[in-house]
Amino acid sequence: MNRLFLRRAWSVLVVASAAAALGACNEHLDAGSACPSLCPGLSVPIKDTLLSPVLAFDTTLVGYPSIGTEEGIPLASRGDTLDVRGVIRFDSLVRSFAPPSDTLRPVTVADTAILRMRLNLTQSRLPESVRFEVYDVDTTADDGDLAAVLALFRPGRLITAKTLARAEITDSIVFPLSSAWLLQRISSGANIRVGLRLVGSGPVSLRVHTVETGLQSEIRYYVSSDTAVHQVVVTPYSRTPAEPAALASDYRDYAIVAHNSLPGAGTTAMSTGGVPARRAYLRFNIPQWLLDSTTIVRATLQLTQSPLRGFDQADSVTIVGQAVAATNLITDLYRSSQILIPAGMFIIDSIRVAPADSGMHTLEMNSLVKVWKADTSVISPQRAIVLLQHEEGLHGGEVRFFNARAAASVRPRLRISYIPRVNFGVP
Amino acid sequence: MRRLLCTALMAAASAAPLAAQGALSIQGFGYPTGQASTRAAGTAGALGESDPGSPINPGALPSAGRSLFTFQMDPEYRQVRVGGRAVNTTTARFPVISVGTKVGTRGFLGMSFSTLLDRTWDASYQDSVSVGGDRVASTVSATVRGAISDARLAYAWQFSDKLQAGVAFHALTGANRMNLQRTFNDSATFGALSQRITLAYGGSAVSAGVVAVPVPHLALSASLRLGGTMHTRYDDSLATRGNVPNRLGASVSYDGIPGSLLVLRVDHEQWSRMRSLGTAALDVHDATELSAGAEIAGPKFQGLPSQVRLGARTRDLPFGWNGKTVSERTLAIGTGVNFARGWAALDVSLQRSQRKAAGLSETGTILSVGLTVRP
Repeated sequence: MNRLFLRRAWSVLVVASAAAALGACNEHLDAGSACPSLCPGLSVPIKDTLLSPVLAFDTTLVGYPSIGTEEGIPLASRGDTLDVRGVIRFDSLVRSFAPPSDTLRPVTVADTAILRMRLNLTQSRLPESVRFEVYDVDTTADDGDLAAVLALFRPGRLITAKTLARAEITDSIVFPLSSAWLLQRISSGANIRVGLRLVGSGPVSLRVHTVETGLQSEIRYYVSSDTAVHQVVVTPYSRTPAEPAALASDYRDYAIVAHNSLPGAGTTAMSTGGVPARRAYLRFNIPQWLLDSTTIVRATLQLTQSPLRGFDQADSVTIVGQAVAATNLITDLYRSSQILIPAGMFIIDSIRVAPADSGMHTLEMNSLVKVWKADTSVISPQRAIVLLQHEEGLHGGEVRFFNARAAASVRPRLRISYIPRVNFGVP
Repeated sequence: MRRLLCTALMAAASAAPLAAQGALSIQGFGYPTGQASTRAAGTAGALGESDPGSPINPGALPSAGRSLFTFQMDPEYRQVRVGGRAVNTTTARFPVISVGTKVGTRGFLGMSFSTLLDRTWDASYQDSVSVGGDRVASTVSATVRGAISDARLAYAWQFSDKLQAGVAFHALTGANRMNLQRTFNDSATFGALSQRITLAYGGSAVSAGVVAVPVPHLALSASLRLGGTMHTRYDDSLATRGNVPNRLGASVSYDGIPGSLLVLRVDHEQWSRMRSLGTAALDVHDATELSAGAEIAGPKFQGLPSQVRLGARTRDLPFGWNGKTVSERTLAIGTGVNFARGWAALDVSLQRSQRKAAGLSETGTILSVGLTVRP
């Protein structure tokens, strides 16, 4: 009996011990709740450094968005300070048609012709009354010759006009067109290229939708009294320039700045926004030891705003920073400033200011610095960012920041919080 | 069979949530395991001076009688109480592996690998840190793996039935592999830190020991370890330099009562010689250990004798916390049984320790399972 009991007791002990020991193979080591007080010896210091100067160079580039990429034509008339006009090309007038079950024939009638434009009144400035003027700006001048186009905004070229009280201005505006004039354009094989201009009882600005917004302008007319023949709808189209062919579509609708009285940014400031919009290009020069030998925890770009007095000086705008994706093989800065990583990637925040504001503003760009650190190939992207205005080209106000040539106290700086590659763990 | 199965399931089920821990015992360079075999652990280390399976006294090696191979596993379940909250952890150790063989009729050569200081733990906790002037919430994850190990080569000589002595050379090696990560709650603005580093150890020591039986039934054992220099290295660069701690221990055992062995042991280790191995913040003290134990003949199992062991120990741990010494009190129980016609032995022990320092308390339960083969 005793022997049987002992054998069983030993068996139980052996199995229990083995099971407990094997169970411990699945270690559970996390003592986090007892830390950090009981977990000494593993802290590493986070150091701060302020890099100034941090820019290899900076510059202001003008002319954004480029023709054909505008998300709206920012028509503006601010007396002698700002005058922005628009051009819409209708180079594809319907010149022949086929009635149902009949043969093709030329257009001899252009009845009930209208020009319809969609308006975007967001952040618009409307006085008591606004006169919308539509000019014939068709010309054989070179497509890039904007002065030649501006010269056609004269009384003899006025096609139609409409004066509306502020309350009458809604999301679209329709201009009746002369049937005779339209028929003459159709039959002569000419194009219709209209110039838009605002004249207000006071400062006025609003946006006209473009092809890029999907709410493009259009010309409509009837080519037959037969109700079975549909109304003709002509949308923006440009036949020129012929070469390169892809460029023609950029000229379907675009803005022209007739006058902008804002002074230049000068030698100690860089500019963003305005009409035409400006972009600030900042090329960084971060010490290699910082990139190679540390873990960067935070990188904050500090910019000091240079206040700008003028029109729209109190209107808040958003400045975003976008990393340049262009490689170092691209030396044209204007082109580089258009090859950008989408906003919100690598530079996550933005600056919301009015042109007349001042003081220091920051952009967090730690993720971007990490990319620069990781990518050391020959065709690595430029260590540069571009500051640009959200809704670029649609706001008159410019926001300026002191640049690398300004006094040390206001020039751009980069505050880096980093952890040196330290040895730790010795208790 | 059904009972065995139930017992196994219960034990396995209890193993995972058992946990215990405390980081009190793993301060500094880690927890001193005591280098005791499972047999000696059953007496809370009291048998350590005279046990041939424990790489403490090289003079005890001939007591094995013949060739020897021991291997053991010592999982520890720990619980530390901090601010009324219990933190449980489990860690597995393999603290002693030793082999030995007779050389001639009186010589004995032994080699062992044992853990001097175990430093294995993980921690993950919420923290905040100042970054660029802002206080930022973050999560810290730290992982430390490794130990300082004692590789010993020993030679002993049995002068007579009443006297045996030995000498040994110790190479102290090992490494702590550490991984530290800090991730910020606002990961878009703040980059995460991740650093891995290996802290390697190197050092040497010599030891000598003796086991004597001056009068019948009374055995005296004593050993001394003299530490040489010791260093830590990061990769190939020297980090710190210090000394291997000296150790002096002695025990007296009495087997005058048939079937029993009573042991008293004292051990003093000069851990403070390691001070310069750490930073200025290292809180290290010399430690004295007192232990008492008994090994009693148990019932025979398959015709072979078994043993039941009991023991108690008090000691201070070498590395303090917050300027206070961490004290440890241990009660132990164990058993051992021979099998395979006496060619092998299975030992099991359970040690329950209470550790205290500066208002914090910790309990540790070490289960030791050891296998000894005497080919």
